[in-house]
Amino acid sequence: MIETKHLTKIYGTDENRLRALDGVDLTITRGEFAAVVGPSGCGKSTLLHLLGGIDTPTEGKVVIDGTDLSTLAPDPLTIFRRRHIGFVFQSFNLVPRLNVWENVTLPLGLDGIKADKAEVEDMLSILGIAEKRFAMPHQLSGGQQQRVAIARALITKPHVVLADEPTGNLDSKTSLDVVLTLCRLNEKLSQTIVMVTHSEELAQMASRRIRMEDGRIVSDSGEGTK
Amino acid sequence: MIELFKDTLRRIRNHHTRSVIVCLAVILTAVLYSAIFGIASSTLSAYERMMQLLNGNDYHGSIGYAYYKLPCEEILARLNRLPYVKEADAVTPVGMGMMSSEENDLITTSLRILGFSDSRMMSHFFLNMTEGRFPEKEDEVMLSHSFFPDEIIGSRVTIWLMKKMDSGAESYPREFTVTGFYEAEIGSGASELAAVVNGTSNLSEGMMIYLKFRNRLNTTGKIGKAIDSIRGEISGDVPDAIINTAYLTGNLKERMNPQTVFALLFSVIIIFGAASMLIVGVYSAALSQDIKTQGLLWVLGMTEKQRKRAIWAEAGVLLLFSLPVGLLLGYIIGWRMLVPLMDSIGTDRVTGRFDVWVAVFAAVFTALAVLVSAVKPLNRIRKLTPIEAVHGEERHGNQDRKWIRSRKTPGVGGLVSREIVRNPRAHIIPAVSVSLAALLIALTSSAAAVMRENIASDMRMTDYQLYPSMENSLVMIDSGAGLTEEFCEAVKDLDGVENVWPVRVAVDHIPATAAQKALAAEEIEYWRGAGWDNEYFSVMYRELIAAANGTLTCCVLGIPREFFSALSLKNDSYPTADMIPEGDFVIAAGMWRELEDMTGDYFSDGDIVTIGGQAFSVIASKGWSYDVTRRIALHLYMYSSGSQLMILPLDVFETLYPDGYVNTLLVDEPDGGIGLLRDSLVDLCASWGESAFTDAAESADGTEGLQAKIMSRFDDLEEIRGQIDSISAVGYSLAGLLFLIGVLGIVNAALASSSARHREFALLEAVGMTDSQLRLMTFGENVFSVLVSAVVLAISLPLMTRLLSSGFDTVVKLDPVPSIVMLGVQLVLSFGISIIVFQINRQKTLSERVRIDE
Repeated sequence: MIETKHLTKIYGTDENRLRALDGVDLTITRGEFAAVVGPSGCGKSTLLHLLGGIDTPTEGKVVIDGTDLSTLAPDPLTIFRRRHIGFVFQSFNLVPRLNVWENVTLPLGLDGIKADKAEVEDMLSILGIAEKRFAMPHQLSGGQQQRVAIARALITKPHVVLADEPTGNLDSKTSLDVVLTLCRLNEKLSQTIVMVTHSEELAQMASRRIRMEDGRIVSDSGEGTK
Repeated sequence: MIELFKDTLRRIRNHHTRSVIVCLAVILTAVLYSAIFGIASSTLSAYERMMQLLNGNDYHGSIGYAYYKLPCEEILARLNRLPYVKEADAVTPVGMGMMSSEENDLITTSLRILGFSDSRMMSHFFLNMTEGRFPEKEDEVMLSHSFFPDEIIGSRVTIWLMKKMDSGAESYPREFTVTGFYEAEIGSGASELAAVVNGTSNLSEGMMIYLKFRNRLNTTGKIGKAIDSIRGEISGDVPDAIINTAYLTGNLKERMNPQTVFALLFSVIIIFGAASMLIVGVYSAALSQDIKTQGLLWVLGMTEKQRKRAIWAEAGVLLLFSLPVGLLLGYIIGWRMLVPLMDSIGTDRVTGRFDVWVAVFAAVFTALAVLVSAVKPLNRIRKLTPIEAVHGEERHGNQDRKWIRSRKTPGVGGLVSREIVRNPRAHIIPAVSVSLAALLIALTSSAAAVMRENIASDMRMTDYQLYPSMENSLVMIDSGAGLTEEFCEAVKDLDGVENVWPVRVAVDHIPATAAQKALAAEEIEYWRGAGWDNEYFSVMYRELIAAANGTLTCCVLGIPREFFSALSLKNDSYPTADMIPEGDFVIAAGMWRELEDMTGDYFSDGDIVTIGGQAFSVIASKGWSYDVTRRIALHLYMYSSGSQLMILPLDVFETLYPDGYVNTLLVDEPDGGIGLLRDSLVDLCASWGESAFTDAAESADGTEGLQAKIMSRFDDLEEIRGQIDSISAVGYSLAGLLFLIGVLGIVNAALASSSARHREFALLEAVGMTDSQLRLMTFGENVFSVLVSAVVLAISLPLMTRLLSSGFDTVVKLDPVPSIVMLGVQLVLSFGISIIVFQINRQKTLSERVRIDE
């Protein structure tokens, strides 16, 4: 379960002070597929980065499965992220000099674990990129690259997958395809997915829609909203 | 154009770190090129200068001694009209004359006197006028200051002239008025020239014509053509065409042997490579930061040519600022410091004149390295479409490759190896540069160690050597000037003297064998070919002629038996006990040719030779260095005048030559000595003065100026140590510069890579790479450079050890410590770089870095 308490993020000082996130309280239960929507600069990505521990809040805290991220030192936080959180970004998701297989298994390698080949093959098959296992990132289409990123995000079987505009660089058909993949995985693996998107249409495919404006949650279709 | 310049200045101001690194690269490169080219150029010109001095003049060549139907002026005028001739001058070898002065009532013998057709010839013969003027009339003469210190301008002197060089008996007296004095340049063959008369009025018998051409190309052909142009006016045999060996291509080839050319080319390429990598690294990093702007400009219509022009303008302005600094530093470090140091090492003296071509070449190579390298990164843009560039979607390294069939789970090690494979050159070239610096240090240190060791063994004979010396070298001191037995006893009784050994000298003539006659004839041919059968070498040449006619003049030395083990008889190696026989033997140490090339000449091992009516078995020496024989032989006029040097055990010598005089006294301090005795010996020699010498010496020319000279092992040691220090300084300086370029390259490659990969690092951190793993990864990438250096050193050190061993003709052990230290420094540097890269990475939060491209 993801829980935030009075989550606030302020960038800059004095006249340049920008309150990107303004006291957000949010609870996302296990297995939920939540879509965060809102206009540019409303704080969607900031929220996602704070949830994933790749940024630190100015105030408040993030608790994932009972672990308060603010209490973790940098390296334990990174290890926690590696084991419990999967990330999918809008672009530059893959290490250019590794092939698909290596990109997918990278988090395991960093954890000193040798990947189970059958498991990786399964994951690649589920995502429809098994034939591209030895391809280099630049040899893939945008959609294929995002699928590889999703596979990498899921390979450690994390409790939470955070996707920051995963369809931002894709055409509508491919975007739909990627989000459908996420939905399918959410159903099949019961992982909690939080996806930031501009697209109302894609957000509709999630089980819960959270709308943000000016760093605050203005509407939440889910029951967990406070 | 003004806009381009303004824009360039703006770019330089905005990217001051980049500009500073480029300037540093330019300066270091220019300094290195100046040093390398300076050393190469000065070595070559020093060699040329040495050969000119040895040949006695700097003319390109000459037409051998001949008689002409026309007067000298007409012949010279005809030659001077030839388009390729710059100067044609004539010399009359007036001959080996005697001279007497009315005022001093002094007769001096065996003087070399020349007639010059023009006063400008003085400088060509390395003679500097110090007083007065060049003789204009038939009865005027200029004198050498060193031969005639007591004469004054206006003195009347009588010269007994010889009609021909080889007609010793045909001489006639003639009076001359002294018009001036000159001094010969040190080391010049012309230093033996005692007087110069006006050639034009004295060139009645025959002459040699010296030619200076407009350039040095095809000298042989030009002399041949010149001879053809006056062939009709020659009386008798057509003279030889003689090329000044200083300009012989063969000599240059010998000097520029394949190893030297390879070393020079290798240095040029490595400096070029190291500098290029540095500049490419700098502009690669710049492009990585700037690729979207470049893309936008491309979309807006900027052509590749315009992009290049912008980069060239920037690099050009930076060159403009830094190249003069680099050349100035290059002049100071290279020309003023390293070249004189090199000069102090060799026997060839540099001219000290700055060669502007060195600066030009250094500037051109530096500018080339910078301008070519600066635009190299732009090739990366060429591979993109304009829109890819706008989006900053650069393709990296292996993107053109096919799939990589790997199912490995990559950890930090996998990421490191892929990064190295992606861009190996960025790691390898600076690493090679660093390892070469390490190698250069190792070589320098080992060469110095070998030389120090050699000194220790070469200097293992006596501490001091006392011998008679005259300022005027023409007085043949060894024809009878010996140290008196009383003086020798006084030296023995001096406090602090441990041992004293006499070295006795006698002159003898032995019949030459048929083989020796043939050898002499061969040598005469060689001398003629080299143009040495002229007036400067006539004394030695005369000995050769005598040998060819069946008589060898021998300078026989008697040396105490205990010294034979200290003679480096065979290529600087000392004889073992079984090589020196117990009984009677003689060592044939050869005649004077070149100091480094003294050989047994007329004799081989095992020859039987009869000296003083007794037969001896010969040990022929081959090459020698700072051993006692050389030290003794060098001051013997008989030896330097072409006599065969024969060394007998002292006891045998004394039996054969009871009248042989003590020419040299060898003196030792107790326990190897540290130079404490020198002052006492100097005082002793001063107090004895001329009374230290035998009567025979006094009768040579009145003994004026005769004195005991002290040659000290400690002076030699000091000189050699100075040379070793010079070699070390040159080696370490070049290594230091190369190391700096290499290190800058490594640092720049690492920082450029980190700057280009900030987003990648962010991604890796986001997917779970810890700080320590990130540090380990960057450290690992930089450690690769250390590994490359280690491999290069592991291969090159044994190779160089072998080369050095064969070069020094001894076992050389290359000191691994400098290499280990350099690798250690590189390792520490790698660690430092990984920390810096990490810190740079940490300047922005992970969230900020993740967002950068979004």
